[in-house]
Amino acid sequence: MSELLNTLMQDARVWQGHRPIQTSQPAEPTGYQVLDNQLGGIGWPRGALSECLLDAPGIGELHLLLPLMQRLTRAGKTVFWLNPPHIPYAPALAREGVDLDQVILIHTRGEGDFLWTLENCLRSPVTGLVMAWPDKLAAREVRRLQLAAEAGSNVCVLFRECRYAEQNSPAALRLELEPGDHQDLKIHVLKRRGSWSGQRCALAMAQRADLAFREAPRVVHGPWAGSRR
Amino acid sequence: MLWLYLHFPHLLLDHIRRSRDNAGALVIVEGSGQKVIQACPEARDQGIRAGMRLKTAISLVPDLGIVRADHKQEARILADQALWLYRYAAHIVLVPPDGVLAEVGSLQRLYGGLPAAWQTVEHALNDRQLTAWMAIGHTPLAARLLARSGKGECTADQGHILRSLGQMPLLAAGFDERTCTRLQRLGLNTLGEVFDLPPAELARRLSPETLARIQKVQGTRADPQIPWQPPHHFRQQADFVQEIEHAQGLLFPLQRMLGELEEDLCWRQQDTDSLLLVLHHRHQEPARLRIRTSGPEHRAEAFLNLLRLRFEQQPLQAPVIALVLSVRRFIDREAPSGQDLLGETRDLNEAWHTLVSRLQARLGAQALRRLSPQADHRPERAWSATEVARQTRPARTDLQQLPRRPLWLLQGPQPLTEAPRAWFAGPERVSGGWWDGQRVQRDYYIAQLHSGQLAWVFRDVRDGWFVHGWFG
Amino acid sequence: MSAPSYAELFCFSNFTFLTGASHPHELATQAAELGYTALAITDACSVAGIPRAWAALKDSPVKLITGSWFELSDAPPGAALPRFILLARSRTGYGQLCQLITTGRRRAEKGSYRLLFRDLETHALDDCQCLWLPPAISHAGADEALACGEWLQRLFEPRLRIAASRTLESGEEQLLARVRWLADQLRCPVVATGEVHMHSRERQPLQDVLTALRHNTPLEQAGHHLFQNGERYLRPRAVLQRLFPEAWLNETLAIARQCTFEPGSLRYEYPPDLVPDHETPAGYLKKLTREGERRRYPQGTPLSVQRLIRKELELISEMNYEHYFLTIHDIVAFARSRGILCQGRGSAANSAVCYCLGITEVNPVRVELLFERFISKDRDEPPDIDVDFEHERREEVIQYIYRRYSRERAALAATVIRYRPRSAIRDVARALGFDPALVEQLLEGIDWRDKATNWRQQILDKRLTRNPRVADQFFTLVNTLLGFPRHLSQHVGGFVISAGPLAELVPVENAAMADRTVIQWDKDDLESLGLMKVDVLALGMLSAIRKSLALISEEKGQSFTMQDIPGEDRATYAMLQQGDSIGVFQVESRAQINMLPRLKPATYYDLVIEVAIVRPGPIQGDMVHPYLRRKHGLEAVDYPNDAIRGVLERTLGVPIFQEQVIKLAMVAAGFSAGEADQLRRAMAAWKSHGDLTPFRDKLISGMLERGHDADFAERLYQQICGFGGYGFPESHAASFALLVYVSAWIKRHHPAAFYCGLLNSQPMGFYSPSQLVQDARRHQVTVLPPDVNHSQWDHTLEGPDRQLRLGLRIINGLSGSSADRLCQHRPATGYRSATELRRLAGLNQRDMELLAGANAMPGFSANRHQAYWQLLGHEQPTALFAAEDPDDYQPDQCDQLPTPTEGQNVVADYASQGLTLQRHPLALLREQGHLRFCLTAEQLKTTKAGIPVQVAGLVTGRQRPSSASGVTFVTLEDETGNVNVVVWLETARRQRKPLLTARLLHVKGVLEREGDIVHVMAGKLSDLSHLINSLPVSSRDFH
Repeated sequence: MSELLNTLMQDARVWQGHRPIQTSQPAEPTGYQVLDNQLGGIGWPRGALSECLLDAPGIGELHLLLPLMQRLTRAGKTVFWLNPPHIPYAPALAREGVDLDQVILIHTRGEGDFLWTLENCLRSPVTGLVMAWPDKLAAREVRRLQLAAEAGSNVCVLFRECRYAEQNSPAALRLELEPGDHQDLKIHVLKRRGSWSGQRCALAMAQRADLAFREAPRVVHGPWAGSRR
Repeated sequence: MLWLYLHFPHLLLDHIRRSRDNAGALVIVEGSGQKVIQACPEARDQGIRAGMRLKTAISLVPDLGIVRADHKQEARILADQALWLYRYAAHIVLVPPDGVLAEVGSLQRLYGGLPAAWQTVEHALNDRQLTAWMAIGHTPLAARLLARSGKGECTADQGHILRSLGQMPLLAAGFDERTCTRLQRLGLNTLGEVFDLPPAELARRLSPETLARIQKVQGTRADPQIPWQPPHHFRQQADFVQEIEHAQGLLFPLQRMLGELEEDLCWRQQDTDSLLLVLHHRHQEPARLRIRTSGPEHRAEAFLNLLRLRFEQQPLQAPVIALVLSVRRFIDREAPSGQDLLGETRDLNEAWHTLVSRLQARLGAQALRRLSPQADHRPERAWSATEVARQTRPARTDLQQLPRRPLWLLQGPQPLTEAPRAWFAGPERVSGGWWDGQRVQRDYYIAQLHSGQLAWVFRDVRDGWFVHGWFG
Repeated sequence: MSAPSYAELFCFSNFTFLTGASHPHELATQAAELGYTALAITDACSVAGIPRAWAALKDSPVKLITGSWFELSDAPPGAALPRFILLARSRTGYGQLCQLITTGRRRAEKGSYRLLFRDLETHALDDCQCLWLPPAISHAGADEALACGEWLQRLFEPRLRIAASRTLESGEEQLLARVRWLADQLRCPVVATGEVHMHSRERQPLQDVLTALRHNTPLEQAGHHLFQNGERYLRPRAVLQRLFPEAWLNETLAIARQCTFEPGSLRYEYPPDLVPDHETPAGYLKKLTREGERRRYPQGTPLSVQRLIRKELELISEMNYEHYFLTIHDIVAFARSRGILCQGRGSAANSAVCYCLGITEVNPVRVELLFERFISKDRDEPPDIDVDFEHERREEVIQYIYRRYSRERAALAATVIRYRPRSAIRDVARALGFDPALVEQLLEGIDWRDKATNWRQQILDKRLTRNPRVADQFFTLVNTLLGFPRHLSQHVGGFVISAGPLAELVPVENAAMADRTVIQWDKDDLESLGLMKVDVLALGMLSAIRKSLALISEEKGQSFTMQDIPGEDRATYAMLQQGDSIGVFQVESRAQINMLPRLKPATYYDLVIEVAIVRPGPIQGDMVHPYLRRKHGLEAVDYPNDAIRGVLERTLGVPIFQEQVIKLAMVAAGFSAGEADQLRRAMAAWKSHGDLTPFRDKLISGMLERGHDADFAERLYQQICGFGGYGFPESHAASFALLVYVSAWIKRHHPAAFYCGLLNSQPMGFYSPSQLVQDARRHQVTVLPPDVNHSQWDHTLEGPDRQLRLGLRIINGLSGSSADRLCQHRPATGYRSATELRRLAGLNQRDMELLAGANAMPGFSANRHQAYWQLLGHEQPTALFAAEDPDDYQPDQCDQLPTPTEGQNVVADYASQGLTLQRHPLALLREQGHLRFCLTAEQLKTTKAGIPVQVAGLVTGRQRPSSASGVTFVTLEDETGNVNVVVWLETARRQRKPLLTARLLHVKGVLEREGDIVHVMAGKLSDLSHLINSLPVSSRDFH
């Protein structure tokens, strides 16, 4: 009797062992038709590294990934932000439709931890996207990451400075980002897998500050004149 | 059978006073804060009584200490008393909210006679700085009534006990209010006078329950008690003949112990999220490792993986001579929902827990954080980061209500060092937070810098300009 | 470039409760300061703030516009929820606005409103201007917004405007873009508004606190409920110029020009119902007065009264007040027709005309009243008459008013419930997230009388917060919140009656009481707008007097009314001079009882003074002792001049009445009547929030100019301050004194009827039934216990000896209906057994137990214990038709039950009736030797002053009057009477425990004596409550 019961109890484990059904799309659309066109209609590669090279934040670099973040978090995939330079601002992300339940922010101390974390995240089936801001990466390390990315089938975007453009990288996709004149984002495709590179395009990004709505600025005098201390 | 009853007239107060240094008058008030329900001896000395209005109590003792009643806490403290009493007596009954009943037979045997047993308990109470009124009775109810009236004595003489009970005023006999009023209207003042009434008439004219109560006091009617059970606690110890010098060597005995834990958890249909591992060393204080999983867990393998990671991070300080694994926290396992049976959520859930537990084990729990918007107009307060724990879905704020904000917020505002190339919008005025000392008075603008960066800048009341965010 | 002109059309005052953060007058003053052209007060579905704003703007160039803000509870199909402001363009538009508010308020529970879009379609609103507040982007889509605008446009075209405001909050630009788009689509002009919630930005913290309270959350968690900034204030025009296009600003002026309604133009239209068709109001009033004269003065009206009547009628006619007097006469006549006793008071009540009309019983011959207070021509304000009715029958009068004028035309005035220190502290503390238990502790601990250490310091002492910055914030907020309106409640009895629908004069809303409606204005508002109200009040003593008079009539075998009571009866005054006044109207309190032997009233006018002098005003103004010294000839009376003699002569040179203070300001300091009246109002408001200092200089300089010395001037000012809000008008005192005399006369000459009437009108007055019964027995009234075979529900007088038989109402918990059945089915020979009683009267077990507990079935069993035993066990009702022979009733004895002792009977009597007719518990204790060395109340009277004494008694009262610094007065009751104990603050502090908790108190002290008044100055107090264990004693504490 008790043995039978035991067996029944052990059934708590029957749900173990499933594997998620692998959908083996090689890439995720970026959500920007113009850019997808430049990338041969595929977008962000999965199971591979991508790099975004830029020198200063605030040019639309996060908006570039926003459509992907929205899609993945809504599908229940986790988006990791690893060592971002500033605070990913929750009210803005939420307003943009990113499900914050699926977003995890990680800060690591040592270099070893950074790589180890990135690797672990990339290998997990729960991950959809890892955005990482590395200090500096040796080529050997990048290769190790490439292997980790291949083990999972996730999108991994590394944000690095433009000076790394000259360095060789095993990343499957390398984009150079620059601010345009009308708050747009200029993209230069430095490398893409399986095809020639060098394409350029510009994405309209003024909506990220609702600028379409605004008229000419009218700056009103400071509210607290006379109460200065 | 003989029963010992401990009545704690102000258990919660004793508990609080033990951890307080000043010995001023202290009372417990009911939830609404209107009435005093317990008063400590100091307070009673100054005229405060249970049942008094708080208003009156404060007029009596202006600097009265006041604590709000917490029934959960009270129940927990009462159970704590059962826990130590359990060492002396095998058969214990909890009588919430303020009493514990123990069968004296075992005590008597253990301590060789009633007076010794009585003294032992008295000492134990003293050690714990607890006030309890004790009484012995030949029935549970007799013991209880005597204890509550403070008339308990160390005697097993049934005749004596019944005489004491007989002299007890009606009000102290614990009848319900209606019965009490009726008995008083019959001119009866003591419990003894009620004993004298013809039993059949008592049942007919008052109520069968009243008679039953009298008989339970006297011992002519059975009064079965539900014994208290000590709480579950998983504990396994491994002692090593040869000291173990490397963590690796601990994994093998741990595997067995965790296996037993898994079996225990499966049997109880429970999970846990917290293990305590105590490593004993020969010449050193033992090391205590607390392992937390990111969610309820029962699999030995999962625990072992976390331990392995932990040992990688934290090598042994000294050779280990003994190992104790204990678990006190148990979580009832949720019945798997129908969807889990069909889909693969459970599997992904487990994968998620595995990953997060793994990361936390190595990086520390604080390294992983989850973000959420907070309802506050001050930008630096409009978000929060919390430790990643079990999958929870907090109530969603209305996204439409959220203001337009940049995706990047700076750790702290940075002085604006250049005149922007272009201004786009503003001012948006934020003024608030006067109540917590973090007052903010700012005008926010959107501006583009010469570098092309789109910045969220503000001018504050001190007329300084700052960058607070980037439209990334 | 000069700042543009501007009219603010969207402004909440604090009458939008928990939203607006400024008083109407603050907004008004600020608008004037900023040079606004006009200011609309637009509270949420309310015009409650209008009169106050109007009073502040009356003499200013800023025009006040009356309006109201609305949010509908439903939306037209496909449209966003409409939110808008309506402004009254004219008197008609104002009436329409009031009607709409009334509809919304009457449909919802007290304090809320509910308006549907259909209401807007069915109400005439063609004389109102509508400002639409379009929904935010986050609340409604463009189509719904447009649909809403189109719907409003259909209703209001061309009187619709789109309101735009600039709050500088996030999302503002989108909203402005929407406003422009809607304006374009609808071809509708846009008007600038400030969405004002406060007069100054400094109020932002308070506004935040109010918002947090409205959402019932601490500020910490109020989050987005709070506004993002403090821009919703009355902004300088220069700022507005930078924020709004010129056209939008100009539009505010265009609208302001079109809104011509002015609250001051509201005129009360009297109900015409009361005047017969062929009569003029004046003629009819004269006729009624003449008829009354014949009734009042059958021997002919004295010449002086004739002159007075002529003078009064002329003035009434001149002011067109005939309808007011006719209305009151009508109500009083109704009450008289139903035998409801009533008595008018107030400035106009004690006039010759009112005496003739039967509104008052105060004969103008007997009291000289200040004619100026009758009706003041200068003040252009309605006369003031309050009428008291028997408290148990006032409802009949109220229902009569509703019947006579219909609910559309009669409603109660509101009372604005305002923040007081306690509620303000509690609410601010809640918003700031302080621990509620600490706050309560703090509130209990604060000694509000302790002016020396203000409560701010006390709070710091109480460690609520150690942070002085938080403490400062807390105080500022609490101080600002003090006096803010919290909600509208109903006035105790002030009716407003109108000629047309009342809702066109002022909005009507629901009161908490079912079937009661209140208007949105309180009595001050009505006064400032010159509107009339009739006060219909309740007075317990009138019930008691009526009942006593009925018993006397029964005894005499003929009707005996108040008019039949002989005047100036010496025996009655002799009784009062002894301080024998328990149960007598107004003079039964301990302070009055102490005063009576000192003042020794011997005339009606002495009673008028007695009523007025034992008040905080005269006591604090130190008028009592000079008056007594002068009355007893110990001090000479002199007057600086004849004018002052004229004012003060009847009170021996000491101002005692409010009227005298006013009049003094006029004759001694040269105040005009209008100024004097302002002073009166400031005095009335002084204790809450008024300020008398503006009058000080004028008063003192005026008096110096007129040759009074500075000392006298300063003393008068101090007296005025002392009077504060507590001054008692002579006209009220005169009305009250009449009832004092009447009740005292009844007590003196018909004590049984007196106590019976009093006991039948309980609860009322100062004393418990137990105390009244003891006093009755001391006055040789025989009191009999309740008995199922003799008692009625009410207490009755039995037999030729007029013995007072307690009624069944004395039994706690017994219902009136059970008692009625008991009386109704009682056989002529009485019930023979408990079984018969239960059966015939259909009583249930509970009723039976209550009767047995009260020992009200003495005929059926040996004693109350046995009676009760027999009842128990019979809970199952006997079958309905089961033959039951009362004769086979078996005495169902139980030998184990004790026979009740006297003590047990006493305890049981107290438990069931709150009194006993057995010996007093103290007599028992004394007999048992517990109170050795204690003197009785009776013995104290003959004990020498200054010697140490011991007394003991049941504690029946603890009082700490605000007029006596820190002294506690304890009243002890023993078998011979009451003992007055005085406990000084220091003694009280040291012996808090017995003082505050004892039910039976033993006092060692020193006897003090002043004439016939005896006190024990307490030294040592001891609690003897254990001696009376279960005896329920109730004490009136700290009222």
